[in-house]
Amino acid sequence: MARTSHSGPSLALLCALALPLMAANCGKQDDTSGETGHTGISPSDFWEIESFYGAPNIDDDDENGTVDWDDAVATVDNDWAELVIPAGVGDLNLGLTGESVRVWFDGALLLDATTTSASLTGADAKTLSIEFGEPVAQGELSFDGGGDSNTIALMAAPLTLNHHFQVGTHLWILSVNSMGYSNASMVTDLETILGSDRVTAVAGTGYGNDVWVQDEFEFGYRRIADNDGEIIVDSIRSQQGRYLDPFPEEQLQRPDVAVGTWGSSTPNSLDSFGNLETSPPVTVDGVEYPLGRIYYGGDDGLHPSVGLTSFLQSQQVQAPVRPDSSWLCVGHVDEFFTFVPDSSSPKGFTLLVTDVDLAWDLLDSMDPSTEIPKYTSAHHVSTIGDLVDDQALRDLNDDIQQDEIERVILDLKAEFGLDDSDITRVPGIWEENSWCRNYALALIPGLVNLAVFTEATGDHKLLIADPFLRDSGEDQSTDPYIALWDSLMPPGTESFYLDNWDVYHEGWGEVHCGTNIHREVGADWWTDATHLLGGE
Amino acid sequence: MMPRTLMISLFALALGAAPALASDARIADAWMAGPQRAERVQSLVADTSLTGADLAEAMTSADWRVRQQAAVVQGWRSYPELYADFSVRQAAPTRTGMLRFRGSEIADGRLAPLFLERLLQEPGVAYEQALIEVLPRTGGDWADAFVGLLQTESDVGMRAVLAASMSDAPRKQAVAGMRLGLEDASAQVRGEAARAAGWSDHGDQLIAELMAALGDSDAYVRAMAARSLGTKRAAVAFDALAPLLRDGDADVRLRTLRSMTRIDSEAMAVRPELSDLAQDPDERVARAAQSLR
Repeated sequence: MARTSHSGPSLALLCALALPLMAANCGKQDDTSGETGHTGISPSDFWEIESFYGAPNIDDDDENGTVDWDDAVATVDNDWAELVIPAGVGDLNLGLTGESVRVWFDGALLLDATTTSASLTGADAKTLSIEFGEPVAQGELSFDGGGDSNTIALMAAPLTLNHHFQVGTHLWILSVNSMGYSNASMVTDLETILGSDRVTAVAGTGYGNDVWVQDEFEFGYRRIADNDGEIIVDSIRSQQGRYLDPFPEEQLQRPDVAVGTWGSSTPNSLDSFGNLETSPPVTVDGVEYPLGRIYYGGDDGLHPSVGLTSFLQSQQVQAPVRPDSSWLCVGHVDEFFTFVPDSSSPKGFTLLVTDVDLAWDLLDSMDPSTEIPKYTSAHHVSTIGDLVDDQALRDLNDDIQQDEIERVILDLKAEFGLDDSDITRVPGIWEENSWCRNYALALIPGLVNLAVFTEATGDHKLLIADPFLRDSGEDQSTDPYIALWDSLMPPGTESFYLDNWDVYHEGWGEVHCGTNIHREVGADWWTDATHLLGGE
Repeated sequence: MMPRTLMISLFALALGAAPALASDARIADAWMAGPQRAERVQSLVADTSLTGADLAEAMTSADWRVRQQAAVVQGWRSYPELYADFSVRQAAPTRTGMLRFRGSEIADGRLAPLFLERLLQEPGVAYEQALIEVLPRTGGDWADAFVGLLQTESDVGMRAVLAASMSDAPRKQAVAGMRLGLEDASAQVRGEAARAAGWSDHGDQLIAELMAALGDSDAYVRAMAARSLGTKRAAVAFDALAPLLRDGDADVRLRTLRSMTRIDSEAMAVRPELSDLAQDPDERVARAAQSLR
C-alpha cells in the first residue's frame, strides 16, 4: 500500500494525530531508550504520519560560544526531536530535502543537505533524531520499504513573540544614578509593586546608561510540546558592543535560551523593539490568531529592517501588521496605542489609543493658572494656560489626530478585527522639538506607553508614567489626569503611576520603553494555530 | 570702566575666529578656540584685577560675545558649585539616539552662559546640537548668541537646530533669526525657520517672508511655510496658498488644505480644487478634503 503525504494546506490534517505520538517526545532525549513513550505506534501508524515538528536548535546548551546547530556534532541535545520507526517496519530507504534539517541516527549524522539519502536495515525499532537549524526550517523526509512509502513534512517551530496578557515572570530594567539622572525611585516602586524577587535592575554603567531596555530585545519562544525553548530577539539598534548591545548575551542567554538577530541594515529608530509589539489573541474576518498578531510601525519609506520583517512574516502564526508610525519623532508603535486586558469585554481586551480631543477637554476644564513645574524645563510651559492658549499647539494636535491617529485607527480596526466598542480613547497631546523637524513627541507623558504585568491570578498591573499634571508637592490623588485615567481603565486592571520623568520622559520614552517583561508561554501553536501555516 | 584691553580680550576670546581688530596685538594674543577657551576663561575667573564692576559693564555690551564671556566668568565666580556640576554634566541618549540634557535643574537661567560656553568649546556636532537644544530650556540669555551663530556656523545641521530654536526667542531675536534662516542656502535650515515661525509668538512679523517661501524649490520648506501661515491665520496669504493645493508633494497639499481651512473654512469649502483633492492618491489629503465637502 503506497501512501503519499502532502505539504501545504493538508499538512495540518494529521498534525493532531501525529503530535501525541511524535512531538510529545521533543526534547526528551532520555526517553529514547525506553519503549514506554512509544507504545501504540504501529507500523501502520508510521506510514500515516504526514507532518513532524521540532524546535530549532539555535541555543547554546554547551555554552561554547557557538549555537548548537553550528556545532554540528552528535552530542545529545534536548532540542533534537525524536521520530520513532516502530519495530516491524523493516528495511528502509530514506531521503531528505531541506537546507536546515539534519537527521541523526545511532550517534552519527545520517542525512543532511549534502547527504540526502541513506538506508536502514533490520526490523528493530529505531529512533531518528531530527535537528532543525532555524525557526520554521522545512524539509521532507521520505521512507520507502517493504512496498510502502511515505513522505513526512518536517517543520521547525516558528518564533512566537509574547503579548501583554501572558503571565509575567520577571521585569528587567537598567538602574541609572549618575550625572544628575536617577531612576532609583522608579526601581524601588517597581520592586514594591511586583516584589523585589521579580525585578532585576542591572547597573546602567555597564551599558552606557542606555536605559531603553524595551528597545534592545524582545522575549519569545521556539516551542513545541514540552520543549519551551526561548528566543531572545536581539535588535540591530545598537551594534558592535555599544550601549545595550551585549545585554541579551550577558544577562539572558543560557542553555535553552537562544539569542538571535535578524536584519542587517543600518539601523534607524524604527528598528528598536518599542516598535515591535504583539496583540492579544484576535479574530479577523473569521480567522483566529490565537497567539495574536505582531505589529511594528513604519511606512513605505521608513520602516524596520526588511531582514527582520521578512523573517517575522515567514513565521506565519502571528501574521504581522504595519500601522503608520512614521509621523512620530521616535517612530514607535508603543507611543500611541496598546492593548490592555478588559474582563468586561467579550474579546478580553480593549485597545487604548491616544486622543487629543480628550486631552483638550481635560486641560480646558482645569484652572489655567495651575502651575505644572515639571513641564517647565522639558516643554517650556509653566501653567495649564500656557498649553490651552497655544494656538500652534492646538493646530498641531488637531492635524495629528485627524491626519495620523484616526487613519491608523481605521487600519487597526481592519487588521485586528475591531469595532468602536473595542477601543478606549485616552488623553494625550503632542509637541515638536527643534531636533526632530515636524515629527511628534508626547508632551504630556504618554500614559498609553505602558507595561502590562499579568499575574498568575489573572490580575493585570499597568505600569504607567506619572503625568505630573499638578503643582509641586501635590500627590497623585490630586492629579486630574490620573483621576480621568482611572475612570477609563477597564475592570481587572490596576494602574500604578511611576515617576519616569527625568530619565525616560525627557528622553522621549516612558515606562514601557525602559522595561522588558519576561512572560510564561502562550498558546500552543501546533494545536491552535496550524490553520495559519502555509499562508505565507 | 572696564579697561579697553580687557574688553578687547573678552571680545576676542569669544570670537572663535579671526578678530575684527586683528592688528591689535592684545587680541592676537588672546584669540584662541576649542579647549584653550576653557583655560582662558578660568584664568579670567582667577584674575583679581578683573572686578565685578568690569564684568557688569561688559555685560551691557552690544556684542553678545562680550556679554557671554563676562557672564560666564561671573557665573563661575558667583555659582562655582553649580557651574562645576554642569560643566561636566553629560547629555544622555534619547530613544532616537540623539543626545539630550535632562532634569528639572536645567530650567535655571544662570546656566545659559555655561552651556553657551560649552557650545563654543566642545567638539562634536551631536553634542553641540544637544547644547543648542538645552539653552532655550534654561530660560536664560541665549537668543542673541543664536542669531550670531546662525551667521557664522558652517554645519547645516547645527544651523537647522539654531533656526528651529528661534521659535522661543524674544521678538527682536526671533524675527532676526528666523529671517536669517529663511534666507539660508540650505533648504533644511529654511524649512526649520519656516516651521519655527508658526510656533513663535512673533511669527506674524514674517508673513511676507513665509509667503515668499511658498515658492521655494524644496517641498518641506513649502509645507512648513504653508502650515505656519495657517497657524497665524494669515488671511492675506489665502490666495497665495491656493496654487499649492495642486503641488506635486502630498504633504504640501495637505498642509495647504489645512492652512487655508484655518484661515477661511467657508471659502475653502467651495474651492474648485476640493473635488480633486477628495480623490487624492494620498489617503490623508483625500480624507481631509472629504471632511470639508
